[in-house]
Amino acid sequence: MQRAPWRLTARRVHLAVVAAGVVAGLLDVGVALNNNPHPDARINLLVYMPIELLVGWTFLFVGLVAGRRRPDNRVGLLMSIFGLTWFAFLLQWIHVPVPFFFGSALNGIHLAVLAHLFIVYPRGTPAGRLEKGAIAGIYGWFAFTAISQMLSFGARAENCDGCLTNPFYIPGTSWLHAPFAVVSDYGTLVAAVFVLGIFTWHWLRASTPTRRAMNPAAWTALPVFAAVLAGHLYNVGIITAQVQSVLKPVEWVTFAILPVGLLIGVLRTRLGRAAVSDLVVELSRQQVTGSLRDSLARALGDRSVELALALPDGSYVDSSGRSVTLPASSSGRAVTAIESDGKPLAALIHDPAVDEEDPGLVEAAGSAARLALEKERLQAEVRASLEEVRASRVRIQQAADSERRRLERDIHDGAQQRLVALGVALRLARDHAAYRGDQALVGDLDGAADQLKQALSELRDLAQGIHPAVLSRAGIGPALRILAEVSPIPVEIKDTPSERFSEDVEAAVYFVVSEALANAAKHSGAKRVDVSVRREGASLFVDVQDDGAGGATPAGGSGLLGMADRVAVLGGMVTVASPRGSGTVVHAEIPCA
Amino acid sequence: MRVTIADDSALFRSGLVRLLQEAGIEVAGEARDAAELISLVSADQPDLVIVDIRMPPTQSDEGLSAAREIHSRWPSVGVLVLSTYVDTDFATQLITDEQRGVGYLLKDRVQDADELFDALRRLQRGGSVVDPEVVTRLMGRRRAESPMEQLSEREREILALMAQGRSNQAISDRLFVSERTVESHVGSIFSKLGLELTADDHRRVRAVLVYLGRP
Repeated sequence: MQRAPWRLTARRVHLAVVAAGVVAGLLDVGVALNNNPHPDARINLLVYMPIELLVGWTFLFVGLVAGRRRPDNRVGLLMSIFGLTWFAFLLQWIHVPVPFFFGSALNGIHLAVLAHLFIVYPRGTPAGRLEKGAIAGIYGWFAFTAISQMLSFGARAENCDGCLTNPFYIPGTSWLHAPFAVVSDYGTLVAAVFVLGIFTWHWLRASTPTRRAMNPAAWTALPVFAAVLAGHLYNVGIITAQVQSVLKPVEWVTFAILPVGLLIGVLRTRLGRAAVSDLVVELSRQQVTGSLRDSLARALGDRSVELALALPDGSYVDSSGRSVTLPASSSGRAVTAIESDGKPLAALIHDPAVDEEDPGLVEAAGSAARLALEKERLQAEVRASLEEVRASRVRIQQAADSERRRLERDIHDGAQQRLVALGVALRLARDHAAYRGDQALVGDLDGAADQLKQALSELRDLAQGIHPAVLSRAGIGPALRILAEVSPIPVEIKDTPSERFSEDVEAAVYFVVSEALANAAKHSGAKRVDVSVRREGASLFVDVQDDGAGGATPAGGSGLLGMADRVAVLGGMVTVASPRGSGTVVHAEIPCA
Repeated sequence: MRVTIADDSALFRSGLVRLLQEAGIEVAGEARDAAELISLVSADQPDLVIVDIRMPPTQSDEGLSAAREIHSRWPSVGVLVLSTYVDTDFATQLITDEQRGVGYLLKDRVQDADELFDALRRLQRGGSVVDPEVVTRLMGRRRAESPMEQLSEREREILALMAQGRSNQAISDRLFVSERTVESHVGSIFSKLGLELTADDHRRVRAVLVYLGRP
């Protein structure tokens, strides 16, 4: 068996992040135990190192648990990334210039990740452009401050008596370092307040289960925010060192508590169920953005969700009434049927993973949306019926047209040929009678021949009326000119397209003009009719205008109504303007592309 | 006179063959479709070909293509095209495109044997034949405006006969007037319509048809 090619999946990225975080934590332990001659080392070993390890690893593994529960939700991955970046400062413990200065620059990156996490919590993705922009802005701001501080840090590190040379230093910029640090602190303050605002706004708008998921995170986040704010307020000199000395140890503790809050949130309520509640709220508020399918896709966290609505005959259609075939169980897609009063209402076609992660979620979402589904199903049923009626009208018209062509051909090949041959036979008989001098018989045969001519002429008109052979052979222009020739009212053909169109379209144009001319001749008393057929874009525009009495209405005769029906079959429309006393204009627009 | 006929109806062919033979016209061959007609004519060229427009396989205008092909390959063979329906554009185009010896008649005319024989004789001499119904319709097209209104009743009658492809002598015979009278009417008609007078019968037919068929 051939193995599937290796791909970089979100899950593999997540595992790599966790592995890197574990290694970083072990490095922290190693550094604390062996590599530090500093007097603070003992305090480090006993107090800070365990807390650092606790915070970092808790985030890593809580993130992993959350990620397994909801693979499509990025909250878990973001928590693990936070855990990894938490250890970024460790690079400073390596006494080699490049990692040392990188480490000092990356010192605050975990705060940017934390901001990202809180903006998207608990959904995992930013909602809207503002939030996307905010996340990008925060990362951009962090990159700017980190790089600017690294470049202006000074030529040497000072904490170990100038032991390391800064390889990134731009000479002469060290005076910028302090202003940059202040700007950075203010930026972080603004970002923290902004993130707190967005989180609060999400909390206020959330449904109760989502709030239940958010509450532990919110309560544990508040001290974190307070500590971060206090730290930066101290940095810019707004609060005093005394206050800061009290708050400093608290900051670390709050970070240690935070993942516990997030974990409780994840465990307490499944995010999927919260999303179903959000769906109910969304549907009941009539705030459905996009289609019902989109709402369901959001609730299930599966963008590939398809909605199939059940028709009474057991078939399925999509929202626009097009037929849908439910995938077989072997197709790699799962189908969940939604029923109402024991009758099939709809089927959700989705990724089987959704059901595996959270059994019953799809059914719950489907049930929550039952009323909306029922409405959508009725609409789809109406659309499907309309579509069926339209298709059936087209079929009826095409069948009638092809029957007419067949009839005309039968008349031509059968009766007309026989009658012409009969005429020749009569002529021969007449010649024989004349040769024998039977004048009475000659007279009878001449009379019969005259009757035959009349019959042939009538038969010709009949066949032409059933289907004009010239239309099939030569198209709209020649066919309309023949209509004009036989019209009792003078007809001026203004424009005709020289190109050919489908049989349906040509027949419809011919029918419209023929009906309009017949109406004009019968009712209007017109002295003249102008006919024009023009192609503009994907449509043919037919205009038949007479100078008669006007007052024609579709109700007055079946001619205009039949014309409208015939054109409607092709998706076109007919308008008749016939003010009394100023002529009649029949205008038809027929799609021809 | 030797004539080859092409029509997919055996009944019509046999009647036409008898009609022609009793009038002393030799039938050189009978074809059921256009391809057979071409091979017959290519083997043995008759004086004239009578061909139905609508023949197998497509039942649209095979007869016309055959007529054009015969006319271009064997210019001395006259062609009479028969049509079940009056197709004015088609007839006008056929007569004005080809040089001479081409005719277009409604199929019904065959029972007016004298008209048929007259048409065949005119085609044999290199003249043109246009069905009177075609001419009537062409003249009917230009009812509203134009110099046609200035023509007298007699002049219209003569114009129609000219359009059918008849010579001055044939017109004078038919209208029981002298040939000189016809000539003077023709001169008047041409000057009223702004056409250039020509002695050649076929060019005269073409000029008149082009004038009448002009949109």
